[in-house]
Amino acid sequence: MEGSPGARKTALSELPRAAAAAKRGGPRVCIIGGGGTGAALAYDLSLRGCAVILLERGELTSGTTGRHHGQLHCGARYAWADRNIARECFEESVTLSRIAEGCIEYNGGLFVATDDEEADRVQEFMAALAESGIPARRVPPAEALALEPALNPALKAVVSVPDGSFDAFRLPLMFCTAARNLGAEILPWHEVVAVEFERGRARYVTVMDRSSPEPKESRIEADFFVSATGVWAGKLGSLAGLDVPISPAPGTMVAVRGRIVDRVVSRLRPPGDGDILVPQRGLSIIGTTQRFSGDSEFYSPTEEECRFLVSAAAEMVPEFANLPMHAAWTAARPLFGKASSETEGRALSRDFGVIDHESTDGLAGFATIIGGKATVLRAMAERTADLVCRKLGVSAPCRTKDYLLPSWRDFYREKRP
Amino acid sequence: MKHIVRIMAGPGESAAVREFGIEADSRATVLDALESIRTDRAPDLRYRHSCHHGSCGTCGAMINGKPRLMCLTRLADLPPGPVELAPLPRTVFIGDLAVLPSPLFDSLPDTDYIGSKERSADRMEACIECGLCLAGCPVTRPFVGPAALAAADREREEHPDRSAEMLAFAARPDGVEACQATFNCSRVCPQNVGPGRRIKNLKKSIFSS
Repeated sequence: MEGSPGARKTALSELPRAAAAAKRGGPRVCIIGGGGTGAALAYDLSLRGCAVILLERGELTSGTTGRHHGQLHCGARYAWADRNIARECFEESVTLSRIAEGCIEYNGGLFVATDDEEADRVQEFMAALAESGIPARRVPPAEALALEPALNPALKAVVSVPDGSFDAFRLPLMFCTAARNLGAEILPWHEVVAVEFERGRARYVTVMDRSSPEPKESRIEADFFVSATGVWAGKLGSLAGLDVPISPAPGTMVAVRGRIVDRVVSRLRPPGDGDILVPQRGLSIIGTTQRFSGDSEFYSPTEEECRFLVSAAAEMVPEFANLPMHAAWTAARPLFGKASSETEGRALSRDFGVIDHESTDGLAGFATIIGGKATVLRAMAERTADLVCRKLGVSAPCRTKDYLLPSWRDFYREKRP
Repeated sequence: MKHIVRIMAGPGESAAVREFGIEADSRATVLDALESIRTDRAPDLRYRHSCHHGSCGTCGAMINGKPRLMCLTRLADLPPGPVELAPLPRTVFIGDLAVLPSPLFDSLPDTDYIGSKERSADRMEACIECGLCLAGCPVTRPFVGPAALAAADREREEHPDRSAEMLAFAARPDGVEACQATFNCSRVCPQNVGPGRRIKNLKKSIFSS
């Protein structure tokens, strides 16, 4: 059945490399930001015939993207509050499992109720999943314990869903490789330091090129610019005189050594802190927390967050607390909207938005994509590319669902062994 | 706790040196230190990083002369004195600690990334392609390197139908016979892939056939 773990190995054709030749002469689009969204957007626009250049300040995926805990969300977590987000997540998780073979462990997920209060909400949860189109099944606790012996033996109810986990570095790199195979220029170590306009339209960016030992400044001209800079969207926008509605919401994760489960384990209750346990290679990762911060670039975990996370993980999988600590780190979600307090921040949607700065600020040739979740990176790129193409008069449809992505290894490869 | 971080910004003796004093808590890693230095004092500082938990393999560097992942090395666990950082060797130098890992990726044969043969569930291969084994290898003659040979040995285990192909790969002049069996690769591997043992397996199969 489609959308169930194990449904991989779909026969998709590989990307036609010859398509690269077709894009010469297409409109020039400059993407700023080399995280998951920028990577997927570079691929989407390249497939539609645009001449793409992607600029990233440091190494690709060195912002929020790489620090993701790696859950391939089937959307179940969001079904409580927003069926549309949940449905989109499910569709995208199925699509990624087809096009991004090799960087996904598609083993499913279990939502566990550890007390009667959570167990009382199983019906409500199952209904929300059904309304969101997410295939789910109630699993008797004894069966769940046979599948995952490390689960808390006191669990009261379990729901199985098609979650998975992915490599947060490799997935975006696969999109970058696909884009580059189509002729896109993917340029890490290129920081945008200024935006220039011509008659109310963004036209050039000044770039500090640090890709070789001696940095040098250059100027890049394009017909359209997209900021896919995540938590730095405010900073990048200010270079263009824009006030971009973005709230960085840092969250901490803790990894322990030892793969304690094969499936993603989540708490059967509306989303909160410390309620997702993701297996990844030989690690088990518990996430996450949420705070709201000003504009600092570097977030580090607090002792209190780490203690809380380990105990929250142990409520679902008791053995977690006994495994050796591997790493603790913090990543900032780029939430769409302005929040000046913790409460306002919690109320911000997890949905994404594409801002056309021509309609909001009178600045043509410039858009910002903000928010969203790692699992929906392809859909975020599609929606953004739709806007860019409408603005540039490009009629080609999105085709990023149609081809298998190439290996991330090809991104750094210069020759075959 | 106070630490001194000394960055040898390039390969070789003549590299420029950038030195920073920092205050860090007991859990802080070398990567955390660089993040705080870049945020507060040196916005142009270049180093690779992504996952911050030893999963992506990007943040390898020479730490006090040994190849290690910066995100898994705590400052408090290093001997007292300045922490000396240098870019990973057998890479293409970009700037400061940043490198292009092309030589590693050029060496890797095409292999499967998800192992599932002996397990009931999908699981990504343990190797995170960080290049520490290549950086720590003392062999100076042409050598495809420990990561590539470990991948080849793993591939024939997962896919016996590719065994002959993988053995031919390992039997090339720059294959297993270049290995000096120092096992440095296994010692520096952050994922316990054990490339040294894998090379030994390959040698055994090649010489017995």
